[in-house]
Amino acid sequence: MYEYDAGFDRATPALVAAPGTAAETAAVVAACARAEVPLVARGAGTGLAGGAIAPGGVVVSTARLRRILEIDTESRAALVEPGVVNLALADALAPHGLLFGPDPASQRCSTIGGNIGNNAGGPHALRYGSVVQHVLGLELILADGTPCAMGGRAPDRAGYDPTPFVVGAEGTVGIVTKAWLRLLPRPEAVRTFLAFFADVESGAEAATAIIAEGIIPAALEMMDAPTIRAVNAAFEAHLPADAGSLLLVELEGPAEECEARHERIVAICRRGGATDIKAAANEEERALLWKARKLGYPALARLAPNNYLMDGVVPRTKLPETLRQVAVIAERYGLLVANMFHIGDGNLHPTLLFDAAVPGTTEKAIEASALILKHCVEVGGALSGEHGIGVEKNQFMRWVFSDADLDTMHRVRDAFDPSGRMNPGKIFPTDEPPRELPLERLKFRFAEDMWV
Amino acid sequence: MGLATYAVNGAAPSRHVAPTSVDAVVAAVREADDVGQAVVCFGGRTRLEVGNTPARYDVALDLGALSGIVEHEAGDLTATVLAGTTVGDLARTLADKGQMWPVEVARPRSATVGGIIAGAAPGPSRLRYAHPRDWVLGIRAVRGDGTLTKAGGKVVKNVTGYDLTRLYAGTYGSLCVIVEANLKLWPLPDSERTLLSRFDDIAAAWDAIEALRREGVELDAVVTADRAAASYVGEIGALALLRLRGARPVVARLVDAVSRGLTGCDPDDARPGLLEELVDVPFRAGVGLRLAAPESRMREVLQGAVGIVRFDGAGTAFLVREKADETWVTRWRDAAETREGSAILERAPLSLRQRVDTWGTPILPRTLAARIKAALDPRGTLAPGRMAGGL
Repeated sequence: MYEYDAGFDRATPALVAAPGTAAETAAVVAACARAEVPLVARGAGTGLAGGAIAPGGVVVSTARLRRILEIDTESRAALVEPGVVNLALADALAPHGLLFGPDPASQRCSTIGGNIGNNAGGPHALRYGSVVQHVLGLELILADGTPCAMGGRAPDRAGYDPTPFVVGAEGTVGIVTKAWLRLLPRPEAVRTFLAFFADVESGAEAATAIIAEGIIPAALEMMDAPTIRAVNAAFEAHLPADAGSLLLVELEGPAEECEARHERIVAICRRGGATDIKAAANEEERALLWKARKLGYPALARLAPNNYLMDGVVPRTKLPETLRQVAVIAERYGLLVANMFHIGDGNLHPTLLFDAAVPGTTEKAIEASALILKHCVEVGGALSGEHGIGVEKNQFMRWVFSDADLDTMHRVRDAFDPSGRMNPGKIFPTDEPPRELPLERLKFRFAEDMWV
Repeated sequence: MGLATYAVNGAAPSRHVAPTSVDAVVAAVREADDVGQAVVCFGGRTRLEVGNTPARYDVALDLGALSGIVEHEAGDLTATVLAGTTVGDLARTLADKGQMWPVEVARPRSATVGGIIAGAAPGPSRLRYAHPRDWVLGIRAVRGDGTLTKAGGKVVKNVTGYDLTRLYAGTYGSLCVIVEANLKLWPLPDSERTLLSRFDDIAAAWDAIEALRREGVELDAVVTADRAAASYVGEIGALALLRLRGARPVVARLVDAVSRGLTGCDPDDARPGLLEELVDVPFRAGVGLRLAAPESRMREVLQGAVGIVRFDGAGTAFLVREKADETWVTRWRDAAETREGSAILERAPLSLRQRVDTWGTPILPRTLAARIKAALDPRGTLAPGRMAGGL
């Protein structure tokens, strides 16, 4: 299982280490330094960009580093080890009336360390922001095995604070052994509802209008027709089978505010041609809606033997146009596409569905996905919103960044890891063909274990 | 302006440059770097004196004229601004569209977006909206060798390579010169009320606020001041200012909750501008020491202190007074640093600065900090010596 994450590539590591403490982690890293071998930190392996695979290197699993060390309710901060599962943290915080903002769909198994490495998002990133906004401080083991503290539960301590830079660096600058996380009070009220539309475009226009009117829901998700059908089949969700798209809207905050915003959003959706609006009547119905959303990807994966999911981001006003382009590109390549994504913050997840047994189809899917990402960049967007670059999109980095930009990133990486042994071959484009890493570009059958 | 006006903590430059374009900034930095001259960046001068006296200082790089809103995409809730744009100007433009950059700092008419990011400026908005760096999506910046680079992007979610934007925050122009920033915006609240309560003792104000927070009363911003600090704004006795924001009915309900929680202290509407004046007190005093500590330990840190302005709930307080010696700085620095905090001497006369370090003990090991500095500013062109550890 250490050969792959939930992405496209696989490679066999030389060794897997599972240290039980920060000191043991430092010892593993120091041993790798002496042996001059590369190493890759790994949480639950739910990443989609190949960030956790280690061709010929040492995988440092955080599976045994899963203690919640402190919950400081007054400072609204928690100190955790990287192997703590996101949902386990949520459960531990609930009795205190607190929450950790980021809730990636993988939260039942993805770890805080992995969430930090990839600056994970999730549906509620719309209101709360990505993981980077919720990490106050870190203990990081540098490439030579020395532990290094940064930031902390107090703000703006003396000197440089690279904490938010380490978040999202995909394990290329060190291995996190402890993290101080920012906690938030649980909202007073929550309202969850669905708005159905005849097609994707009218749903997207409504989503854009909601944001443009200055309403930021806690979450604003879209599912298109193929996704609705898949979710119905998998969960008996009883969503209208003839709907062309739906928006899943969640509002959080003071009760009166939720009420008023609910009314305004319903009006915007009706004006935008919503065919029906259905509210979750109770916590059970709300849980079902979110289950359908968070397990929507495994449901989609059942539709075709293979699939390829993208993670591009566009400015929110470019959403309708981008979704049209996605459909055009998929059609041109003869691929079925399904869309289930974080529309409120412009983070697309078009999923191409295909059968790799048909010769040439995998290549077509990879080419189509590249065109879709290229479009995202051209309208002012980015290659990844929450899954990272890994080995999947590093060759596209030059679409976004100049040589000078990449050189600057490289210099900072070298400052942290002069040896270049921390998760090598990731993020940065290589001048060699991508096959320099002994990877097998295969889409496997464990899509059931994927979440977005 | 004469060169004397560009003096920084006793050091004066040999020339000043006031570029009006990004290209001109690039040229100025490159020229200085080529001949081994050192550069200090100027914005609105609100946080200029924070830091040690630069070890070398030749060129004053005044970015005040590099200002303007390049783009405001209201539908995306994003804006791109040049570094010298003041937050006051920005706020007015954004308010026309019902939006804000939720970063509130002292002296908004002077404070620039670039300076706020570079100086990790504190303010009452930290309680609800955290750090300024959390509201910056991308940056264009000039490295010490004069190379123009960008980091981050314009979208609200982005994991495309390293986000150096956030590394540059709080580095006071010592790693790069920020020339342009893409900002994440937020809708303006429908309404607000700011309530003032008076107390005999600031500890009683803290008790009341802690109780409100435990009850889950959503406070938008809180500033408390003891008797000595309140005297700077002409008030008598300890004060608590509580700002409530949101939809009208919500604010009405919060006002009720706060009034119940502060029974006996007669909370009433604060006079307009009082909150801003309190935020400005550390600038009005002769000496201002910025304390950071975990909220749960801040009261221990502040035990016995006089001249307190505190941003309750945000882990930040200032100690203000007219005169101080190094023993005083060391005493409060020890109190903070032994409780996972810091004490940064933000405002002080030169005589005190010469006797005590601005920063105290940095958290990041110096070897790594020095490598980061060398990576982005190999020749020590940008504000050498200003940062902790002599970097």
